[in-house]
Amino acid sequence: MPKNNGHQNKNLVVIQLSGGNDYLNTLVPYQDGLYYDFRPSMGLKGDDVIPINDKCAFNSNMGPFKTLFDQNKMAVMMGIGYPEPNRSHFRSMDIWHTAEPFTSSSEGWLGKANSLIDPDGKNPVTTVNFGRGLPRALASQGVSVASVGALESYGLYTGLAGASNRDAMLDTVSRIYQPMADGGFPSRRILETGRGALDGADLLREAPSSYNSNVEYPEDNPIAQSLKGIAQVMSAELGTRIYYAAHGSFDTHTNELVNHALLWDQLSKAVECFWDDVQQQGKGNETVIWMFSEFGRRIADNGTGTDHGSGGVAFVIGDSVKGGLYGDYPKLDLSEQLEGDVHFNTDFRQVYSTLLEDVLGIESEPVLKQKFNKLDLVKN
Amino acid sequence: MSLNNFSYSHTIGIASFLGRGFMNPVDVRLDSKGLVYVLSRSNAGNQDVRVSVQTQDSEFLHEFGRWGTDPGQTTQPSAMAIDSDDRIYVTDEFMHNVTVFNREGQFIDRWGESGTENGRFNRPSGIAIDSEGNLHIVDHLNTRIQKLAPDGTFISSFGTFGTEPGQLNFPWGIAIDEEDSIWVADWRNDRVQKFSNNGDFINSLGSSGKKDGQFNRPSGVHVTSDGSIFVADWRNDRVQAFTSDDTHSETLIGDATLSKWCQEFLDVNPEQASWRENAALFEMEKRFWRPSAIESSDDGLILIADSCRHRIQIYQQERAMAMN
Amino acid sequence: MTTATSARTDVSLIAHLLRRAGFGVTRDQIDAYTAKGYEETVEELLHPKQEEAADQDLLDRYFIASVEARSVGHADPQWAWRLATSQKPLEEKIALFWHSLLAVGGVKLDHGLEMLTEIELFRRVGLGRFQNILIEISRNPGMMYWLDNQNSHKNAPNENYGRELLELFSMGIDDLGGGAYTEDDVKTAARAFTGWASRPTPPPFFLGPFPMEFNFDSSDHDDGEKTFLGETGNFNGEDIVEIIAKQRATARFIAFRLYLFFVADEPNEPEIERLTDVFQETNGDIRSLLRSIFNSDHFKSEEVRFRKIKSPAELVFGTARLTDRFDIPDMESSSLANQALFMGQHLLNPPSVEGWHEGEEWVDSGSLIERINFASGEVGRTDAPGIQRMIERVGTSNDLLDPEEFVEACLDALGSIDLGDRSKSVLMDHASQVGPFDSDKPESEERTVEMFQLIVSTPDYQYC
Repeated sequence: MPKNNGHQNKNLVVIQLSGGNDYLNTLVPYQDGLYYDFRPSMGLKGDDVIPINDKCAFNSNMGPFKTLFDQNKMAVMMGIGYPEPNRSHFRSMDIWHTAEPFTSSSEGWLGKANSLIDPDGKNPVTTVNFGRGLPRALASQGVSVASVGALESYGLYTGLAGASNRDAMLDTVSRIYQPMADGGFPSRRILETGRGALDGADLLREAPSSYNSNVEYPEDNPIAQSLKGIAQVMSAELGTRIYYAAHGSFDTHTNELVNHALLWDQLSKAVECFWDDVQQQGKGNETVIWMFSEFGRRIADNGTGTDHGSGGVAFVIGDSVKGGLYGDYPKLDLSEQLEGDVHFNTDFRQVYSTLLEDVLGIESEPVLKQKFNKLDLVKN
Repeated sequence: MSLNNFSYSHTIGIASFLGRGFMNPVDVRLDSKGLVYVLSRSNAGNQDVRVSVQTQDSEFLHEFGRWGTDPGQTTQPSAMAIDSDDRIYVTDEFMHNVTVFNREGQFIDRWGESGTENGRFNRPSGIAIDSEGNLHIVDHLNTRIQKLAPDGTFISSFGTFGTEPGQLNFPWGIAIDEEDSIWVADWRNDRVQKFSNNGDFINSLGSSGKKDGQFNRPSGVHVTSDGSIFVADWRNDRVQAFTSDDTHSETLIGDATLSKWCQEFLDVNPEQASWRENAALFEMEKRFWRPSAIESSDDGLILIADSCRHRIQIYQQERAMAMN
Repeated sequence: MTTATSARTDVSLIAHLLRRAGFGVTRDQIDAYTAKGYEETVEELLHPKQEEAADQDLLDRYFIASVEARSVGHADPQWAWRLATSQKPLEEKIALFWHSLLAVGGVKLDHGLEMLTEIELFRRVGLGRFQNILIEISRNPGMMYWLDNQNSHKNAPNENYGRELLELFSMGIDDLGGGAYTEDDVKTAARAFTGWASRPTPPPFFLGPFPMEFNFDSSDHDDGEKTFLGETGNFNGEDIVEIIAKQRATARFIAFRLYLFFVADEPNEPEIERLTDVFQETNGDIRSLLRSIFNSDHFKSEEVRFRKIKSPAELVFGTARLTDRFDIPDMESSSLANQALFMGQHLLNPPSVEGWHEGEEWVDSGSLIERINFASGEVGRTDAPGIQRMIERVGTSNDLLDPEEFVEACLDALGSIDLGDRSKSVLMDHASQVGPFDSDKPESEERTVEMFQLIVSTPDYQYC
């Protein structure tokens, strides 16, 4: 594999926080009186925050994040966003997935990255998605992504009773799922999907057998179980470069204090287990976690929650990451607000370009269609 | 002839997936000591089914027969009966069998399987025990009532599908009175029918409708020791009582107060209590929602399984005339 | 065209109609509908008799927890049974359409009883006027809760419902996220809907859930003057909906969504324009729009046959219906809801207020494996009466069937479906490895079932 800018190629684990994570109650400006003025019902203070400096504090349900932050393994991207923010979940998530704020595209940034990493589609498990359904971020013409629920039962006709002729059937199915030219029926995309499904199934089903770990992921925590699956695929060394999982819903219009706390408690425990596991596998240096949400929320609360806003917070985690705070904490003064939201100061595509080049080791411009200034995020 | 005079006594229950409380209780029975056995059915596939045992004043004792297909487990339980030795018989509509437990809730035996032959079942539901200790089981999709020895040995059966007098249409509950006559909740015919112990049709009670003495899918029938007849008028969300000459005497629509368990729950969860106060649907809280079975004690307690409110509503029947 | 060819054309056209207006039917049912005639069938589909299902009592008896469904999971047996057995297929199909377009999800509204009430609402009004549907959903307590309208007050409107009403339920947004309305219109709509809410219910944790009820609180309603989409008045929610329903953008948005759901994944601009006109001419009468769709030459043309990816619900219930094995509600019928979930469609719980995306996005490598495993399992149920009839149909010929005839006979038995040329030739090749099909041979049933299983494993079967 080629090296870029002296950086080792690494693997990327994406955790999507679906629904719009509330920036202000994640990284809390706990010394800013304006915050409490705008959040009479939702302002976090005292035991509900974990200060990291004299301005910012983590939500108290993020204990393990504080540990990673103190170890300089976590970059906190403050005020991240994009120009002309959109407050629709649908559209804003689409923008983060496609890295196209101004036009609609069906191609995902990681789908395109996959096709650069593996241009001939040789490895059907270059990208592995945990969960049902494919996020648009991973979609790209000609790219097949394995979407996995449970690794152990992954494959075709595995539960078929009385299929004495399974091998001949599989052979016929395999001959049918051969990509044809565009515009045919069935569509090229469906055929490619099938091809990838068949090729990836056998590889993935075997992954847990090589996994050996004493980390105990909480059973009733879906994101923890997804991250465990990722750790299992990692341990099988299948050449997977991109892993994807989602957690949510962070759409906390109401009852935010309870729901937001629960979500972060689950996520913190899951990430704590996963990072422990990654380090035990000796992969701390070659693994980078990227965690984002489609938008932050309004500065002012609505009594029990917060509505859709813009500008948010994101995280990059890894032994190879230069930990610390990036960007500026946006000002909350009325005169500094954007229609009741914070102004973004870091374009997320700068992070994308850094992750593409310094983590995945591919050119960012073909993916992002233009050159963005990278951030000095990655050590080696 | 006694008049049925009722007073509401109290309620046992709270919604719960396991332990103290019930999940869609479809049957309630008393054992010889007056302990209350409640059969939680939930949905087939939801794992909260069980038989739970408690005192009449809400002391939870233990539970058994939890979800599954292994011996000692039930999957889609429908009804239960308790014999004079306090053995508990539970019918299961998924496994088409009957499981027998002892008074400690330990598995003793199970028998029955899917089929139309004598002694086999297609969704066994109601079950009752006569004075000789024989079981009468509503084999409802085979449209028959089977009489079986306590070990499951077939004795006899009766019943044909239809709407004529004496015929049955998806029957559900069953009761045996002091004379060993058999009462069947002829569910889809919206009536209750009385048969002799060997299955001869005697008479029928009720018709389709909402008026007094009419039914909408009656699920359970029960005859008290003084001959009063109680019918769980399931889809009308009420229980009707009849005197021993089949005259309608009372309609109960539910009077539940907060059970001890519910009160405790609200005491330790004040935000839930204020949520409830804010909603203020206190009248709706009292009412039956699909009451499905009735039990009584010799001293006049009437217990009603309020299946969609996860509780047993208990009434006291005054027997002034009968005691004269 | 010979009589035989024309009869076959009629059969495949009726089969196409029933895949789109319903979930597909068995080959025998296709014959019955064909005898009735195409336009008569369309009218029958468009006029489902509004009455409680005859087996509702049974469903409630066997799944008592679904009567007071505390969660979506507890409600599953109800809708799964209807989807698997209803003889009024368009009633269920239109409910599914609105369930995705006017989406309320169990993730937040964890109230299975209310979700079922919403599906029933769509059955009741889903073929009527769009304006009425929007009013009904705006008075739906589950929707008011889902989009936080109970927190929208006279002095502090919550924008959520106003925004989604315009963006996702009626006028839509173009590719750039800007629509035929402005941010001010969103805010105005929110003001007009202040006071529209769900009445509080007790918590479900001790006595189970309580039915939700809509409540309009005039004291919490902003009765002031408003300007909305160029009109000015003291608008209430009904006025907003009335204005929305008049907009060409609304007509076009609904025509577009109906087209994608019932006709093809690839939009056809002239046809959508035509349907937009029909919407406006009929005051948004959904029944008229669907009649116009189903009776159009475009819908009947080969151009749109098998040009729509089956949603998981279409794949699951369409295939399960072939088995004709659901006599009585049981765990088998209720578990079908889970199958759709495994393929990416959690019925009664759309992922967000934007519902599900139709089209190729349904199929990823993970869900394709689920689809193939499920469908091949269903058509392999040789004990199911529907599968037995399919096997018999293939085996009726006294003559030996050559590989092509055998594959065609299997496709016909599966409901007069078709495959693309390449898939068909690979399957013929598979059949030819064993030789001509002889229904008298003992292995004929196994061969037939195996061919059914291969057919439903094809990429072509993912289309309806």
